[in-house]
Amino acid sequence: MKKTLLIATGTIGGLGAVLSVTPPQLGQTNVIALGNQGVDTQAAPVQESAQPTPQSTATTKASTPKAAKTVAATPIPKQSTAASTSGSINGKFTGTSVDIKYGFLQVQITVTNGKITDAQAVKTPDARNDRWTLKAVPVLRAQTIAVNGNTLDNVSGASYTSYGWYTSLTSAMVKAGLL
Amino acid sequence: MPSRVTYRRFSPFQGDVASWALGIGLGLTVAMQLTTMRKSDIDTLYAAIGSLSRLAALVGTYFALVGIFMIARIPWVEKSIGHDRLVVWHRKLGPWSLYLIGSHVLFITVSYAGFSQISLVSQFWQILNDFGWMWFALAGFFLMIFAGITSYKKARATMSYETWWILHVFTYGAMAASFMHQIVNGQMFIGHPLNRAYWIALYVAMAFCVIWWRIVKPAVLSIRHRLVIDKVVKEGPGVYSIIFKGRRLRELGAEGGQFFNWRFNTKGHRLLAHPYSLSAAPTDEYMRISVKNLGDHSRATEYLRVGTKVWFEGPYGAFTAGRTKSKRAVLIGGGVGITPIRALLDEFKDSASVDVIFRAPREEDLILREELDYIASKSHGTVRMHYMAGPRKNFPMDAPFLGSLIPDIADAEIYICGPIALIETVVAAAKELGVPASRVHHEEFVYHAE
Repeated sequence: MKKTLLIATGTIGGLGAVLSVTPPQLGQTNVIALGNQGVDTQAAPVQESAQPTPQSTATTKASTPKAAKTVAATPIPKQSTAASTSGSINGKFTGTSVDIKYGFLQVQITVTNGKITDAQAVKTPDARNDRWTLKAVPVLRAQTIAVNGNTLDNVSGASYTSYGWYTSLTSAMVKAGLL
Repeated sequence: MPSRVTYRRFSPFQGDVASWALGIGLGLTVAMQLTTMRKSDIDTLYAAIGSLSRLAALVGTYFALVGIFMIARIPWVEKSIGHDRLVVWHRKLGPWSLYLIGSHVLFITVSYAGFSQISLVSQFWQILNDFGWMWFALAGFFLMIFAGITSYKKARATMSYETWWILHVFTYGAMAASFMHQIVNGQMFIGHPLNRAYWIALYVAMAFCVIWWRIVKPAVLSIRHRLVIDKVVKEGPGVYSIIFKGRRLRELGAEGGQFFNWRFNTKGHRLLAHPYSLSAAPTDEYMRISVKNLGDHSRATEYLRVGTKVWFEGPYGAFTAGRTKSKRAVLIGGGVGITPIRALLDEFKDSASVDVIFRAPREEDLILREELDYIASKSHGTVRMHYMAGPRKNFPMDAPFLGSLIPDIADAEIYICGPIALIETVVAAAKELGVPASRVHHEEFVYHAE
């Protein structure tokens, strides 16, 4: 009896403690399940490749070598550079090809005047596993255009595709100078 | 009456801490899902079914982990809760784990099939192929089902301990096989390193406990104490005492009432360890067990040779004198269940007033009688023996019977070891006579085996 009580208090305590720190987000639909947490874990390689964007190269050439290092090391000035020039970005940009366990996913975005006007999967897993991807890609495409960025909702039942889409999209946006 | 307490006092504190930790773990496990769920996980019927199935999987797996922790022989848990009670909980928890995981398998298929509008069978097949590690998970599920079915009372009764044991050990394989599909596909783990770390930590802790306390420590102790069979003595019909000789056995800290898992280094006996209670308090050089021809293995003990090397795991069990709070004890042994009672008597004889009731179907089943009488005769009246050989109706062991035999039984600490029928009768009688449940200790000798 006493032990049952201890188990119950432990359960409620443990659950309550976690929920008070990270409350459940059941009311929200466009909260970024992947965008939020994916950034600091799986999307890490993408951020590495973010260094040699056209914008930052341009800045480097214009300034002194010493200043260039500082610019490259701190992401904030780079982002402001990107923001100031993003209005003039046009064209198609293809992201990295991402391994999603049963194949590769690659996203290509079309940017018009700094806005994402289209997003296509140029490479998707083929054969037996593509059903999940086919289900998720239209949803992810619509979301990407709607939010004009990579703050996307995880598509239920298609976690790999969502992760792959997010990662590839992010790298494409970096290439385009949108990030 | 001389008062010389040699045994360790029993404390429930650590068991309470363990229970509380169990609760916190369950809370954290459920929180993993609640914090990662989104509206899209509950806003349609099929999504909700999927979410429920994930919850069932998490809780079921958590129960399976807890079940393994319970029988991992963690010393402070063993000492505080008692092995027999842990085994009882393990047995109660096991089926729930299986039901929950089974419903996960079913409902995740229903959920996905509902989304895709295809048949359950083709959906099941697609899940197996579309997600990572699913075939391993399925194999693990089957192993778990086998272990579950074979532990079911009726099925268990039809097979030998050996067969059951081997099938049951496969549960570890089941846990390992199903692990990757959770980590790789689980919605609460994808993109969530903290959840992943917590879950992996649980599994690592489980593996550590099993490897350390069930494999490494017994091996080290067996090597250090160099136990060999010193003598095999016939005690009664089908009952043999095996006397082991070793060195520095006091360091084991074993007490009367506890048991070891014994593994005899003879052809055909190396694989399986068997649980037998000590039938006398251990000395620094000797330990003794008394075994009845119960299973395949115990029949063979007749042929055990002197000098055979013995591997052991233990001591286990909280059926010890340290749980006593009074100076009055009633020890009840049924058949070969007298063995831990006989060992307990060694612990009690100088510090408490003890009545020993020995129930057996026939006179010749009253094993170890000579030494029991000897202890009683040297005890200056503090130990009284009551032999009761014959049919059950002569010795009902119910409340009126026990109450008239031992008028002050309500003040005593009661220890029972024997067949389950005897234990149930005495436990009910003790309740009727006003003995609080906390002062009734029992061990079913058939069950300290898992």
